[in-house]
Parts: sequence; structure tokens; C-alpha cells
Amino acid sequence: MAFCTSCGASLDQGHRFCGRCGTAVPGSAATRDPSPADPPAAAAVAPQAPGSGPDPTPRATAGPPAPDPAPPSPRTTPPSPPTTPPSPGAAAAGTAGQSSTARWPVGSGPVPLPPASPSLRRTLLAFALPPLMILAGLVSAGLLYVMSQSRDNAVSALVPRRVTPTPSRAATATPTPTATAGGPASATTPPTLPTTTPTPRPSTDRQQAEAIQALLDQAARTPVSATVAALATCNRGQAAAQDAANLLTSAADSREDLLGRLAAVPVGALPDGATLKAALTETWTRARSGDRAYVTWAQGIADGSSCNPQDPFKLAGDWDTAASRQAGTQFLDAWNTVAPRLGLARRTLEAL
Amino acid sequence: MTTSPDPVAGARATPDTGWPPPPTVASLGVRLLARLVDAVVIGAALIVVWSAANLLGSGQGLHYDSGSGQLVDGDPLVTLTAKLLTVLLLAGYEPLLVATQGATIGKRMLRVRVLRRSDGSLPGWGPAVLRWLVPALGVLICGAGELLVYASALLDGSGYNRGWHDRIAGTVVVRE
Repeated sequence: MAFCTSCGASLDQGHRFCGRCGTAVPGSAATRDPSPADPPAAAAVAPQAPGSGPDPTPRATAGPPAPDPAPPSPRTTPPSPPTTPPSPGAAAAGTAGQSSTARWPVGSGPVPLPPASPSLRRTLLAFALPPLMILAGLVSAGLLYVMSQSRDNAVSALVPRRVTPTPSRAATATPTPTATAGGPASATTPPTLPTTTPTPRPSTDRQQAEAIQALLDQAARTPVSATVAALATCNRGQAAAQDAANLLTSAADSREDLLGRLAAVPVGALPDGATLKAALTETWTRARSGDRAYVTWAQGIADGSSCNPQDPFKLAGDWDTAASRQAGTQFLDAWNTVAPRLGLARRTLEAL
Repeated sequence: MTTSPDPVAGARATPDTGWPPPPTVASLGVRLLARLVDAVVIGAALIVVWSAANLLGSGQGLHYDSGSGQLVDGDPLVTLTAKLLTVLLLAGYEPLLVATQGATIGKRMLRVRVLRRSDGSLPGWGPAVLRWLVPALGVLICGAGELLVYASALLDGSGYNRGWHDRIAGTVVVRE
């Protein structure tokens, strides 16, 4: 019965590797290079190392996983003791039969580099390098990001998704925060704040209603919804998209103007005047906000983005438009009860 | 003396040992460059794989198609193949080449080789996989542990520049 040279387990006849630890069985065919020249070479080794042990065959083999680099490994036992490694005989045995790829005798090694520099310096370097490399990676990634975004300004960089803004687009996008805030647009026209000029303006209910009606007349709505619907079919070219963007911009500007003037209209004499004014302000604020969103969407198409009817800006425009129509319905409910009593015309939602 | 070294080895052999002159240990800068080359190679291969997957019916899973504006599902077989190839590239590239050649593409370009520390022969599968596994496990530590493993070669003051992965696998990197 044979025993494994590594772990001592008993070996079955004919097995080439130990069943317990995987070590190659000495003298078996489990060598890395079972070439025909192998057995003679092994035989040649035996006389070279008569005192090295009873079994001359445990030559270096690279069987199954052999992570242990220690020179006196059982599987890499040289014919002579490791303390006197490269005797010519052992070397010859190595070149001839140990392994065709062995580069140095077991126990020897490659030529080391010049003496290692002070180990403290190297130690510091070893622990400083990984963080430095991470830092370098982050910095270069940041640089790449900044370079890829260089055409965008700070505002558009914060706007989500597929933003390739032009200055005009960015400029139109800027006021949207105030628009979505839903306030009475006082910030845009500070000189005509409502509280500053309440009396010199129309004072009777009829006059105040006429002032509002004048604004309503002016609000003859640009064909925003038709434009948007046409653009959403995605079968128009970039030039058409640019036209649409321009038209929507002017629509938004006109809402801006109307809001400023509406803020200056006193409604104290009108029945339900505050409700009327608030509803109309909301109507136009949301309409303006929606127009701005549509502008961003249309400008994107005009600048070459692929047309997407589900674009977030388009959806935002739809959302604001719907809110505008809701507020407009509220306004009309009030207006259409007040106006006839004052001899003024009723209005429909489309006229807003 | 019954030695009969082959003529070529004999010609290069130093007279006192009969062995060819041993190679020199590779410097760490060269090894770092080799790693960078390998990173580029793997990165390029991954780009090719995923570009091909996208051309062949989208390697993505459920995704948003900007053309139709709809959520569409990719071909699951293509996706699976691309993922398998990715794993194969990331996990197989270095062990396979180191086990069989002793050098990856980057190491070959920079003329360094991974050899067994014991006798300078090719590492074989066990050490090659171990040598790859140690930094691969390091990735699990904040994704940066592998850098420390590679830098650990600096901690070896013996002149052999063996990092932890070299020690565990029983290998040494030499210059050809």
C-alpha cells in the first residue's frame, strides 16, 4: 500500500493523484510533461542523489492547485537538499526532466531587483497609492463629465434628461420657477403692483369688468394647442419645430404681459371680484408655465433631439395646460354670471 | 557527471550551474502599465460585446425606446449571452492566459511574465486562479481593495516585488 507524500492518506493502486489532497502520486504518470523522454530522465536522477531519500522520484510536478511556494514542498523536492540547491547534477536533472518550462532550480529564483528602498517609504506609498488612484479616477471622470456638459449652462445641467439647450432655450427656462410658483406675477412687473394704484383706475363695477374684458379680448389665444398637437405627431421637420418654438415663446410672453396688466386691475367693486381675478391669474399663470415647457420641448426637437411625444417637458406642458383649463373653467363660472348683469358678453373656454 | 544539457541551454548556461541565466524580477511600474493595457483590452472587448448585443435585437432588458416612445423588451437570449460573455471576460481573461501563457496581453506587450516562485515554470490553473481571485475579492471591499492588493507588492522589501496575490498563489513576476 502506497501513501501520499503530502498528507499521508493511503493511495489506491493506479491512481495518479491523492484522493484526499490532490497531490500527484510520485512515480505515477501524473507529471506535467508525460513525454517519452521522462522515465529515462527520472532514472538518470536516481543515481545522482543517493542520499536524498529512499524515493528518488518526487520531482517537481505541477499537478492540481499547488499554492504553497515554500521551497521544501513535498512535490518539489529536489534531488539534493534545498540548502545546496543548484548542484550541476540537479540542474541537469532539472533541465532534462523536471519540467520543460522550469527556469531555475528549486530553491533558487529570479534575479531580485536592486535592494528594496527604505521600507517605510514603500509602505507609505503602498497605502497612499490606492486612495490616490481612486482620486485620480474620480477627478478624470469629473473632468470628462464637465467636458461633455460644457455646452450646457448651470440651469440646464439641473434639468433632467436629454437637455441640449441653446441660450434662447435656457433664457426661456429661467423664469419657470416663478411661473410655477403660481403667484400673482408681481415679480415681473414691480412698478405696477396692485396695491400701489388702486383708486385712479376704474372704480365702478362696470369699469373694472370692462378692464378685465379688454384683457380677455387681447388674450385671443394663439393656436397653442393646435401647434402642440401638430408637433406631437413627430412628422414635422426641425424647421417646423423651430417655428413652433417661436410661436410658443410669443404665446408665453403674451401671457406674461397679460398677467402683469391683470395684476394692476382693481376688482374691489366687482361682485366676486377677488375670485374672478385669482382664477384668471391662475389660468394665465399655468398657461404661461405650460407654454414655457412646450417651448423647451419644441426647441429640443428643433436642435436635433429625437421627437418624443412622451418627453417630460411635453408632459409638463400638458399638465400645466390642463391645470390652466381647470382654473379657466372656474373663472368662466364666475364671469358668465357677472358679465351679463353688467351688459358684457359671456365667454367660452376657447376664448381664454 | 552524467549531465547532458541540450545544446541551446548549454550555450546560455552559466558554467557553474548548468541552468540558463535566471530572469530578472519585473519592476512595479511596468506591471502597472501592463494592468492598464489589460484594462483597456477588456474594456474594448466589453464595448464590442454590448454594441453587438444592442445591434442584434437589444441586449437590454425592459427599456425605453426613444424612437417609438414605448417601453419595449429586448431579446432575452441576446441579453443573457452578453451577460455571460461579460462574466467570462472579467473572470476568465486573466486566469486563462496566465495559466497557459504566464502572461496576459498587457503583460506580453510589456514583456513580463508570471512564473512559479519555486522553479520558474508556468503557473498552471491553481495559482493562476488564486492570483486572480485575491484582487477580485478585494473588489468587494469598497470596490477598491484590489488596488491595495496590487500596491501590496510595494510592501515586499525582498526585491522580488511579490504582492499578496503573488504570495498566496506562489508566483513571481519576471521580465523576459
